[in-house]
This record gives sequence, C-alpha cells and structure tokens, in this order.
Amino acid sequence: MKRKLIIFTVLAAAAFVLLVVYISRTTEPKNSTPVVLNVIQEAPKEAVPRETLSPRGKIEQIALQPSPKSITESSPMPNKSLPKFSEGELVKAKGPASFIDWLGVNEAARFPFAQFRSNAMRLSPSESWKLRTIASREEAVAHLNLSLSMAVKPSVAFEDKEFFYFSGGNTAYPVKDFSKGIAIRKDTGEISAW
Amino acid sequence: MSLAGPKTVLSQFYDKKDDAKAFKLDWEIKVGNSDWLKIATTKHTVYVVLKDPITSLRQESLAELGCRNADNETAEASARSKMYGEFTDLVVKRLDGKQMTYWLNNQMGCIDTADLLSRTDGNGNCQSWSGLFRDILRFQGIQADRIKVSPQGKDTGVAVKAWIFTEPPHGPANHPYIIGLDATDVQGVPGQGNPNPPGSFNGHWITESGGTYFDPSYGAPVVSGANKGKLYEDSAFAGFMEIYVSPDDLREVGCIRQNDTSAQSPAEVNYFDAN
Repeated sequence: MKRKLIIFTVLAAAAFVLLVVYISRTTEPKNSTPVVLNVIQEAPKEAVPRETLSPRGKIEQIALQPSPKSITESSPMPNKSLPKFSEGELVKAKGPASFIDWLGVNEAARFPFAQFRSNAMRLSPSESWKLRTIASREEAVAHLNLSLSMAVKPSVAFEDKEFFYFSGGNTAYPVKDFSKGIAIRKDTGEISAW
Repeated sequence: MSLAGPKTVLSQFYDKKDDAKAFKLDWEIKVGNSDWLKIATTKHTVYVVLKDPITSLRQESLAELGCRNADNETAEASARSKMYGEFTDLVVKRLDGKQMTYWLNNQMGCIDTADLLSRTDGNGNCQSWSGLFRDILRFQGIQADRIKVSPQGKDTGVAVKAWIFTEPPHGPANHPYIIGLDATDVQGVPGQGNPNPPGSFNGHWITESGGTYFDPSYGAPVVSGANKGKLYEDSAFAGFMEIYVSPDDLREVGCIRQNDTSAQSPAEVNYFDAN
C-alpha cells in the first residue's frame, strides 16, 4: 500500500511538473519576433500622395526593419511582388521630386556624419560653377537634381549646421543607411560624395 | 662644360613606336676648348594642336587622346570626327593605361574631366564623359560645350535603351508601364567600359560641337541638323519616367511612358547648354 502511495505521489509530481512546463511555454513572450511599427496598415486605402505621410512614422518603420541584413537595398527596381494593378485602382502621381525623409537629430544619431564628411571627396565643380549659399532643404534637393546626373535619387537625408547629407544618390540602387551618399555645403553649395 | 640642343623638330604625333615621328634632341658636350662632341639623342613627344587651347586643363591625356586620333588632320570638322572615333569602341584609356569607365558597378564616380583623368578607379558619370570629350576638343582650340538633357512636363527621368515593354500595361494613363511589371530594363546599349550601365537617370549630359550632338558615355552615333534634338532622343531613350505611389502599400513605383518616335512627335526632352 505504501509502495502504491509512493508511485502515485511520484506520478502526480511528474504530471504537475509537465503541466507547469506546458503552461510556462504557452504564456512566455515570443522574444524572437521583432516588433514592427506598421504604419502602412493605418494608411488610407485610396491613392495618397506620399507627402501626406508622417516622415517620422516612416523612419521609425525603417529603423525597426526585422531583416538582419543591411537596410540598403540591392536593386533599383521594385521587387517582383508588385501588386497586380487593375484599371480603376491605379496609383496616383505624387509630384515631380522624389520624396525625402528628413531625419531628426535623435534618428540621425546612429549615423557617423563626421566620418562621412571626412571620407567625402569633393565632386569638382565645372569651370562655370558659381559658389552660392544653399539655405533650405528644398534648395538643397533642387541643387542636387540640377547638378548631378543620378540613377536613383536619395530618399533619406539629414541636415546639420553646415551640411545637407543625402543617403545615396551616387549609386544606381537605393541606399537608406548612408553607407554611400552625398553632402552639400550650406555656405558654398559644394557637393561631395562618400 | 656646355650642353646644346635641340637640332631637329618634327610636328607629327609620336606614339613612342615610330622613331621617325619622334621629337629628337641631340645632346653634345664641350669640355674646355675642345670641339663639341655628340653624346646622345633623346626622343620626346610633342603635341601639336590644331589651335590654341581654350581650356585651362593641362592633363597630358587630353593632348594624347586628341592628337593621336586626329594625327595629320588640319580641318576642324575632320579632326573632331576622328577624335570622337576614340569613344566609339567604348575603350578609352588614359596615358597611364587605365581604361576609364561609365557607372561601373552601379557607382556614379566623378562628374568632371579632371577627376576622370586622375581618379584611381577612372570611373565617372555622363557629366564627366561629356566633359572629357568637350575638353579634348577645347584642348585643340575647338569650341565645344556640354548639353544637359532634361525630362520635361510630367516626366522626371529618362529611360535609356534598352527596355522591354509588355502589353497590356497596368500603370496610370500618363506613364502606363510599371517598372518591374510592364517594363524591364534589359542589357541594351553598353557604355564606356561597362556592358550594362544603369537604365534610367534624372537627366543625361552629352557634348555639342560644330552643331552636332555627341554622346561620349555610350560612344553613340552622332546626330546633327535642325532636327538633332528629336533625332538624339529617339536614338537614345526608350521612354520617360515618373514616380508614383502604390495605393496598397504606399510604395514608390517607377512608371514609364514609351518614347513617341513618330515623325510628327515633338521633342520630348529639353536641351540646356551646361558649358
């Protein structure tokens, strides 16, 4: 009788342990799944010019990309998963200039802009290039577009006291992590690339 | 001791192969009251240009590329044509032997002549290549300028040949061919030292001289005459681009309209003198 009681007790204890393990596994947080701020799902379904999006929201989305690879994309072309557009729900033009996300100071803190500056080589101006002040972001984008033949325009940028920095613009593929890019001096308009 | 020279001058281009064309210096030595004794003859390259240079650049490759190709030419038009011939096989080398390239490995590189002739990688975009030909001509005293070819109207980019368009397109009316879906950039016109340069740009730079358009980046056939703008764009561009936004995920999508190459179509890009 005593032996049966011991066996029962052992079995009961084992069952309890298994139950505890099962419960703990089904309730623990899934740390392996990164959090993705999906601002796209909140966007309206109808065609909307990109300018209506919050730039900050888009940048946060980029920062939280789950891919372990670089966020620099390797192809200038849209990927093969393009939706099958049908007539009547066509895309809407957003304007003449490519949209640029301007990083805030906190968002830009992860990029070594001083290092970019030191690595940058000045793109020599032509003999007729007149130095001039570039005062605003709009002027900087226009200056870039007028001055350089680019295959893919930059889509991310940052501004400090002396320079405008553009991610990419000197490559034929999109660059969003400033691994390649272009800087414009505010006081002279000189353009450099790294 | 005294040294003296030169004794002879030849005006033909010397490519370091044909001794008869070399600019030779005979060196003699005189010690004290002795007679002059010939001690050596050295051979040199002398570049005889068509007219006084109208560029401040003095990189030797500019002289070499012009004089070698236009050797013995005395007329501006034929000299220009011969010099452009250097670009048509898409192999252009500097004096140091480095072959220069256009958008190699999808990198823009430099944007002007001086850098293209001095950069370690010798890589540059259309601004540098159109500048190189301009400055080769200017070194010979021939007037030449760069021309910036810019999209107009609702277009923001040019699609350089070659592209394949599939029917029916799925994009918006103004630019119906969606890149990646209806329009595919295929290996088409090769560029300098690059069999497949990028297929689209926000604009393109070429060279104009003597009323003729030259496209050194691609070594393309020249166009001239009153209708040269139309002729050029129809030979170079498959279409014109604009960026749209996908309604489903707000992704940017490039869309193209095909270049209207019909005779009645007006010029679809702008041409600016960019010096």
